[in-house]
Amino acid sequence: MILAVAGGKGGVGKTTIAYNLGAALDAVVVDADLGMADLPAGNGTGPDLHDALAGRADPVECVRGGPVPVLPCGRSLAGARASDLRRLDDVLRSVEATRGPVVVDCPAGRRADAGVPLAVADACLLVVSPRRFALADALRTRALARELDAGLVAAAVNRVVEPGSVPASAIADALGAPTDVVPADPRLRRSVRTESPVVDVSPESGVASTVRSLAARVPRKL
Amino acid sequence: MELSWTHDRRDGVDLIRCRLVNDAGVPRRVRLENRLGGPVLPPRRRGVPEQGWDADGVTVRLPPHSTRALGYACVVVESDQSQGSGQEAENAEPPVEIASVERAADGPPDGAVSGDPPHQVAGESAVRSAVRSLGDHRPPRAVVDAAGGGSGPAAVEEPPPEPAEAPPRDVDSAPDPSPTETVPNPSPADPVPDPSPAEPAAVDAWLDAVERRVERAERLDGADVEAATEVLVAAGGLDAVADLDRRLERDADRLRAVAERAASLAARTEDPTVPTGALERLS
Repeated sequence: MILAVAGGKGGVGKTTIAYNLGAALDAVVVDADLGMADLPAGNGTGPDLHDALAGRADPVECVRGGPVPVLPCGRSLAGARASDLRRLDDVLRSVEATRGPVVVDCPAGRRADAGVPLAVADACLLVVSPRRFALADALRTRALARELDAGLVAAAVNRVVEPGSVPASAIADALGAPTDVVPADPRLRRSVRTESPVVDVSPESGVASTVRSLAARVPRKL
Repeated sequence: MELSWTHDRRDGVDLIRCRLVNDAGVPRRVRLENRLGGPVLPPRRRGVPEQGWDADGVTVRLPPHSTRALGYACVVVESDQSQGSGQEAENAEPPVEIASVERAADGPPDGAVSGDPPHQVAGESAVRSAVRSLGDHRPPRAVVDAAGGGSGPAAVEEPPPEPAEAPPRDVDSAPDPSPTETVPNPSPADPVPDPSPAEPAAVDAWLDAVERRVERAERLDGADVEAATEVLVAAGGLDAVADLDRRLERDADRLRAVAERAASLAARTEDPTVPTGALERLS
């Protein structure tokens, strides 16, 4: 199972959701944001996704261990330029074949780097911001996912300060997928930087329960 | 449906150029097939064959009263080289023919324009259609070269530090190097200068500074009190972010201007071939 975590706009907290879903799904998280690496890369040495996409490294060797295993992205402009997206399919499939479920943290926008992971993935999950105008952006990504045959399994409205104020069922109707409202929580916000997924460090919290609810919507097998 | 064609051979490769004219008042779909003895090498976009092309030819849709020009290459593997390599390929037989013409459904023309949602050709994988029809994600070559990047993990630039961890930097009040002052602008009379070591690093530093400002703004956008406080503390207080909006607007304008210039320079640098061999022979 390869799950793409996407969201039209930058800054919605997509990476944080992808990382925490990785913990809940016992998956490897792949940082496919080729131009801006977001996920922890360990001590920064060793092959990364740029290397795998340029054909220089075996994808499975690029996976770093940790509370959530991560296949990090490279951090150079030259590496981003040399990345061949057509290899992403094989890269993701070989990680899946040896390590099990894969969560792909997709970049924002609608360029090829956002589209290809959607085309490869078996399912996708959209992360949206609670701001009203951000929904239009989410709908555009939803349209792209549909074009590329990535079935939308769930949506997460992220960083919500007042959960009661979010029209979750209206958003679910618009996107055509069950939608969970993720409360703003400092433990979630620092979970990537400190490598402490909320389902591990605060399993009783509301935010951990929401992450588990999202994870439950992802089919384990197809 | 009218077809006219030209056939050239260069360096062992056949180049066939076609022109189709649909003079009917209805849209029609045409199948052109290659008659030369080798597979069609179609036009490609970022490595993926353009829509409608396959190893034997191309299927295109022409709107009513329209003309379409297209071309392809072919490497002819002929068992008898009776034509001789120096001769023009003026056979009695045409290299390309119309195999079929039929009425097409009304609707948008074939051939996705970049920006349109990708519509897949039957048999084409979703990945290839995404690569072909969505925008190129790669940083322009000019920016990569200016940043001094070689390929490989050895060429590394430090990731922008997290605002909460780095010592508060005076990012917003530091003067930016203006891109027009930084990027070398050789006059036609000068020999092409190597960019001095200071200049790629300056472009890099400018992009890093813009990225930090954007990240700061993204973290403040819709943040709760605790998150906003964290960002302000790292930035060095309210004054440091007071004119963030204005600076970002200016950043956006500059980035667009540089991106346009870099993209057109990149296209130009890919085009000319320096005839080093010929120059050496003549010198």
